[in-house]
Amino acid sequence: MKKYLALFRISWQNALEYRAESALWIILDLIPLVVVFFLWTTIYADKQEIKGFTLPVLVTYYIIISILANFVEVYFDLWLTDEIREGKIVNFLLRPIDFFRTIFILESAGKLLRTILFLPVLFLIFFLFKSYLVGPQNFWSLVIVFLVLALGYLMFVFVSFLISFAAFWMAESKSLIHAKWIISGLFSGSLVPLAFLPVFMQKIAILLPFRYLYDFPASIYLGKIDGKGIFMGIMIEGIWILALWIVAKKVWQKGIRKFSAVGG
Amino acid sequence: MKRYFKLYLAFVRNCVVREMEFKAHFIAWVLVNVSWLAFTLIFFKILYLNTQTIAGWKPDEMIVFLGVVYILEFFVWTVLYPNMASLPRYINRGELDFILMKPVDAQFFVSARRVSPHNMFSLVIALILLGVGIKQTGLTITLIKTIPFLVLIFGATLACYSVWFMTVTTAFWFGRLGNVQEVFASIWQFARFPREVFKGALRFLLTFVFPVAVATTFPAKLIMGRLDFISALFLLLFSFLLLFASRLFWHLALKRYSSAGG
Repeated sequence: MKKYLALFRISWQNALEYRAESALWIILDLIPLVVVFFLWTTIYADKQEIKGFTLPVLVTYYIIISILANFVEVYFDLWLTDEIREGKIVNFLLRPIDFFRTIFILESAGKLLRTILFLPVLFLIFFLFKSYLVGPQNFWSLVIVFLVLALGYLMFVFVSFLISFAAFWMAESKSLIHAKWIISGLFSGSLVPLAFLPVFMQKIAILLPFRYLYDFPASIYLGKIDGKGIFMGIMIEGIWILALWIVAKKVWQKGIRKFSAVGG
Repeated sequence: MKRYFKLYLAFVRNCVVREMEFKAHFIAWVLVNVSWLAFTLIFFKILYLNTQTIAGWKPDEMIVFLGVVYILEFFVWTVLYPNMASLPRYINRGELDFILMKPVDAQFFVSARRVSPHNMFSLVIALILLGVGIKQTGLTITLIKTIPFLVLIFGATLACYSVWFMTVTTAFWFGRLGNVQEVFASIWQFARFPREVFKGALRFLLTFVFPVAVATTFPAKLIMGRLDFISALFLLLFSFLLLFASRLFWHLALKRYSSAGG
């Protein structure tokens, strides 16, 4: 247990070093929200509702997306890809902590700092968009949203692990990160609510795990899914996490074997 | 002047050759560029499924607009970004001192040394989008019409460069921030939509402070024949004013830098 705390403390101090950059990123990450706000406001100029969303509901949806993004987005694949390619991964192997847990603790420290830095911005958002905000369905929706959020983050972490591990075999795996952004952007609900997608794309979205990042929790908040739907969703989400975890572990073992065989 | 042009060609050749060494790398990035284009087109398709116009821009007109956006994107990410991202590094690692010793204007060197061929394909995409958009809107483009367009594109890139360079010059004061170049890069997102979408104080900001909205919208409106002469003149004159300001600010920053014993 002590070693986990020690690692967390180091990771936290590391994260603190970059607090100014993190704060700047949090503010810059609000720009997409401003863009979609103006974009949809002008589109709604001559209509009241699109696909069951009024403008205030849609604005609330995007505000939720912006807030969720702080918790759910994963960026460690950007540097982990380079570390694997450059062989620096050996440093992780020498540590007394399991690789997955190491990365997870690093991520958690960063996320904690980001959450703290984000709180004042949260108040700013509430203040700016007061007249558009729609309240949650009820208190329990908020609780379930947090649960789904945590699960979604876990899922995305394992997806990012798999993308990083591609570096064991591909020199150009950085481009896979772009693929991750594009596919998750389209099918998670971060670009537009899934209800706005053409039907054939909605069908694809249901088969993928990305909807649990944004569309699923946002829909729970807005009361667009009933109890049964929420339960089913969480079950499927759990299965995704389990499957991704197993695959990630297997791929990691294969990758490490290849890595050690080459020079180690 | 000719010397600087030759020097720039050398910079470009150096960066491009290094990148092109690996064919797989180049192909991978072309695919990435095309994928983001598909992403953008899907987004606009979804928008237009739910509306006739976006701030007065019809779908065919929007394709022309996107073509202009991609021309500017080429400049922003291929020509400008790698240099903007490097300046904080030069300052923090002391490399700026070596640059200042060179027999070349420092602002030129810092601004032009790097080229990122990752997004070179954007120019090809831009030409395709412009071709398709112009055909579909039924506009007639004569050679004479392209000259003012190129002049405006020049003004647009000059304006973006100057403002971006000024924000990055603040690295002399906020050097610890490794991502100071991302401020302008993030504001650039506003340029991907017509200026008419943004209203009020934001539109003012995007016209007179960070002129990213006029950088894409004005040249696009020129093609559509919807741009008045005053606006075109404004963009051009403003871009020169901004260039002048960026140079003043750069000298100010350098003076402070050297006097601090650095």
